[in-house]
Amino acid sequence: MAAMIDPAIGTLLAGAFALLFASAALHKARDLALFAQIVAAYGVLPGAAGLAWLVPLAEALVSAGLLLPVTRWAAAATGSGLLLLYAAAMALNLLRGRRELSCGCGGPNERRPIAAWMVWRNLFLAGTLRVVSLPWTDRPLQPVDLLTVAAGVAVTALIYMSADGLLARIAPRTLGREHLP
Amino acid sequence: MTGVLRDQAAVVGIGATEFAKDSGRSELRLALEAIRAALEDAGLALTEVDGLCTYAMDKNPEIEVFRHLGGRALKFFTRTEYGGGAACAPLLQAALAVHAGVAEVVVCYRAMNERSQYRFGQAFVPPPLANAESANWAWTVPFGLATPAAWVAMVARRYMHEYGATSEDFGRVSVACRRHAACNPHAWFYGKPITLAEHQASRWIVEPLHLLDCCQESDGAVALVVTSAARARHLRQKPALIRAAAQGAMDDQMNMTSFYRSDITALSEMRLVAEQLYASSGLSPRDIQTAVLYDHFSPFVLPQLEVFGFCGRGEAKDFIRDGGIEIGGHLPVNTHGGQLGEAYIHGLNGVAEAVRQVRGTSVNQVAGVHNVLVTAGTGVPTSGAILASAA
Repeated sequence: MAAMIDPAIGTLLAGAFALLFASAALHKARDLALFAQIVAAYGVLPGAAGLAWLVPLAEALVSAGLLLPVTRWAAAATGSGLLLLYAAAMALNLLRGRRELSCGCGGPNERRPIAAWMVWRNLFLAGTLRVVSLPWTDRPLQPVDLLTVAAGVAVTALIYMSADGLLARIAPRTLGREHLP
Repeated sequence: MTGVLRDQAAVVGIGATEFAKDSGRSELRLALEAIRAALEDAGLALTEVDGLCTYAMDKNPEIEVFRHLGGRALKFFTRTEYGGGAACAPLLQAALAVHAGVAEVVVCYRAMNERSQYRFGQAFVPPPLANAESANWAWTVPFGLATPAAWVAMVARRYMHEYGATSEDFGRVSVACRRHAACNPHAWFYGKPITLAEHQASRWIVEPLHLLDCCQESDGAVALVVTSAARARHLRQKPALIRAAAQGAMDDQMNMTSFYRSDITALSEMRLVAEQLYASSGLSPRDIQTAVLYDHFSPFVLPQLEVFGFCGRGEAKDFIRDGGIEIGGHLPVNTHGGQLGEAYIHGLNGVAEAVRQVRGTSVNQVAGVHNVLVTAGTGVPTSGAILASAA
């Protein structure tokens, strides 16, 4: 029997990720020129900077898509793909020794160079987001579920921000392979 | 004919603290943090350090730094005069020591709480002694010409008069540096690019210098590790070879106030450095892919482009207007954001950026870098270097 999740848990996860992607999109859209410059600095794909505007657009669509049952599966797949893409871009540059690139994460006023823990974080998030794509049980949501979902999204966001902030201060920044010839 | 020092020594480690306005710790601690980071970057032990080089206005005595590092035998230490003008001098000193066999692992450092403990931009107070140094300042300071901005404004105004450069041309330097800083997470002005209109609207400090023509006052430290090129080949980082390094002072040289020369905009001491660098490296301007030009004040970037031969005399404004100093231009300049955008650590952060460009790890990496020019403070006896990748 395929794994299924409770709709309250599914909604909670979808809501939390929708918040994450909405925040990321807003942060990038506030200064698209700067974001394009950061994309160019990654040096992953030639000409990628010219298409940088697609990233916040995709993130906004993922955010909205996660909240609608009909688009949830596609949004979760796209969101996971974006997170894996970011992880790959960071890992590639860490292996190149380019540890000073901006991660572009952590909010508009956060200045963070890329680090290995961010790669693992993104892999974890991408995996967790896939859970949203699992079939949901057909239990109808009750009014009390709304409280569960709202409080759950808030707590998840707080835990995420705390863990993210803590890791930024204590986690090693290298993948441990940058110095190999 | 190339110099005997060419490619004999290399920068093998770089380290820095964060760049701040109030570090919250002593300058000694900042120096030690940067040195430890540089040695870790190089993969060398603290106990291997046997040389220390810094430059004037750093308040950390070499022996205190060495003692707190846990060093064992310090065989070589120098402290070059003239503040930011000496930013590249430690490279020359270290290369000389390494090549001569006087020392094997030389650390160059600069640490300052220049914003939180004292203010570099304030009016200068000469030493209260009747000596040659106070006599130098006696020609200007008692008459109100007492701040770095005011001294530089004299040169900038003359340069505008002679070559038709405008405040907007100076502003384009600031805009480029801030654009480069905007995606450098270590830069104070990370995420804060400016427009030319904002530059023009910023308040006057001393005409023709706007606020945004002036570098920051910063707290922070930077350190570099220099050793022989032969040893560098076996260390963990790609070495940045010291292809050339030079110091220079010229006729009628004064400290920031060389106003009695026949041509105060010619940067003759920097021209001397340029001549030495090109002669000893065997390189020409065409061989330089990117440069870190000392930008304590934006106007001084223009004559530096000229004395190093990237454009003709008086043509720097056109070079800059054409985007020559931008990423993708003929000579991307100050790819870390410079002292206008990253931090003012008296130029040593610029040397660190030159190393990153050679390694290929800069935030704003220029493609195909083989040789990087880095310069030191202008208006004072100065220095410069060319760092390079191995052939």
